[in-house]
Amino acid sequence: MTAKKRRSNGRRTREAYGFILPGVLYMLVVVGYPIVYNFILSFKDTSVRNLATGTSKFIGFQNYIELFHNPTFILVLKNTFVFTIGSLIFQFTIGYLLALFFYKKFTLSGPIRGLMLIPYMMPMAVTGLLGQNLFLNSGLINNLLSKVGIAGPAWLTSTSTAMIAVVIMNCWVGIPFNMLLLISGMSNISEDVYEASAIDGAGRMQQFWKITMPLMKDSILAVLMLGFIYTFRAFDLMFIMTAGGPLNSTDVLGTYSYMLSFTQYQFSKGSAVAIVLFLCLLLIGILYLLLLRKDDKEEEA
Amino acid sequence: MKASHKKTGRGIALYAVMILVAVIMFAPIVWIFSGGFKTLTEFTTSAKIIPEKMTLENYIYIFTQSKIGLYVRNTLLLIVGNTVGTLLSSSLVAYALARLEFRGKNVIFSIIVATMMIPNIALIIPQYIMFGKIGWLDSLLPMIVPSFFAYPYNVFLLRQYFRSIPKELDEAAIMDGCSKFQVFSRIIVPISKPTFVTIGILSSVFWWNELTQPVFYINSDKWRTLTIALMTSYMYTSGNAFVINWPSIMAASSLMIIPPMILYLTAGKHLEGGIKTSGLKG
Repeated sequence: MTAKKRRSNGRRTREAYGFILPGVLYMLVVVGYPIVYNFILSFKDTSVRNLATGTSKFIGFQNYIELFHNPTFILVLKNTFVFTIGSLIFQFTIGYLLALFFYKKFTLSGPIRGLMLIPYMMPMAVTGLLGQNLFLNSGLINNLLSKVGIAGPAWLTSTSTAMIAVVIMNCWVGIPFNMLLLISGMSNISEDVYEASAIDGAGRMQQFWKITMPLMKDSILAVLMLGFIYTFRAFDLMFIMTAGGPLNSTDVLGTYSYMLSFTQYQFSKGSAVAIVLFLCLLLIGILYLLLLRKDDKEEEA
Repeated sequence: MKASHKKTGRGIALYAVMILVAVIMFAPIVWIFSGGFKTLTEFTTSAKIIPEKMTLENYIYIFTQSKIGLYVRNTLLLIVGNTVGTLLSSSLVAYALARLEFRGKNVIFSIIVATMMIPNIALIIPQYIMFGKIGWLDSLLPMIVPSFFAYPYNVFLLRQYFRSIPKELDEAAIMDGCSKFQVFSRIIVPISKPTFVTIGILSSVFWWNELTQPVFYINSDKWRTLTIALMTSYMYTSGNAFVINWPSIMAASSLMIIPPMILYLTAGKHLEGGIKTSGLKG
């Protein structure tokens, strides 16, 4: 390499670094420093007592050990999975059925599709308050249930039904989104494939299992993964609708971490919970990437 | 003959189910809008959709008794600050990642994608302590300033878009003596207008709706955003500190749903595409 070329390379690199400077600063200051700080915090005993004085000590894995011996944390962990998987199953299934229906164009299908997105577009603060109201003991849902002769439960004040109510509200938000993504996946499948298979004598059911499902695999995987990542870190909905209650029955990792840090001022414990949440998401993300890579390899082979 | 009967029967059943689903999806929204025109007594005692006694008292309260102007101003400050900040900074970073060659490019791109996986809650405790040290708590600064340092989602979106622009355009401009920055500002940015609009809309809706960060950072009434006001200023306005004034909340909620709806209806096509490529909100 000649000196001149090296110099011009250097200049080009400097120029490029000028462009990416904001991105690098973001990663260092807004994400990097806090996440490292959070890891360190989770290995210390920082609480409101020693935050100002700065006398907190390192206590190793003590916070994590205590968490996993704490029945409340185990319940919260279980709740997070129940909430996530419950929401995913229902919002995906219903979203899929709606997508099969709305993917074909018919009168008013456009505007209806647009209006269906409102639950997804509206503020979670509104959704949470709405959920609180709909599921009141004397609220709209129990009112309607009583009209068909069912005595509705005390949804939000009973530990056995509060989670169901929260999952229903979350599905209400998630269904339109699932539908939209799945419609876009479906419209990528060419009509010719269906016509050709119909000529070969394939029935509707066969078409669904042999054509739609395999060709939709990527979209389905993406929808479920994005849904998992988004649902697993839920915070707003429970924070407003139930505040994690009654008796932690709707507490998830996000709200529990908030409560530990900002109502009990046990910052280190709150950080440890946040790290558990982060690690779960990281695991799922890696799994997703591995699945994608396996797919790529199969296609190459 | 028999088969076709069976088919229409199934078709009608399918339509019936879909109508039911549509009703379930829309009913809560209708409930919000109708609730805003009810009195507290009627709201708590009847489940009628059309109010028996139409009242404007909830809206009159919001517009004359509450500091709605202040809450709207604060929310708009968040929207404008973040949208301007993220478009400026994210597009610069995305351009470098899409077009320039430099050492560490792939590593930086991977890290940016990886940061999208980090949940806000794992960052916000240290950020809270950090912003506390520089005296930014109870202000909008912790929510606006970071957007001027790019935002991973938007960097990702813009990079994908920039890569789809033919490279010949850049090369021709460089032949004509343009610098890299001029290529960026005179060619790439103007071509990418639709993506800028999409990101602008998504960012505006996100900040219109955002609750978590204001909950953490805002204490005093003077910096309350609409979402915070909804949970505080419009909740116990019935004169009794223990009775939630639902009609007041429903009226305020109606007002909060309308702007994202209008944005959606006017820019629907843009937005559907944007949501599909960007994944989920947040």
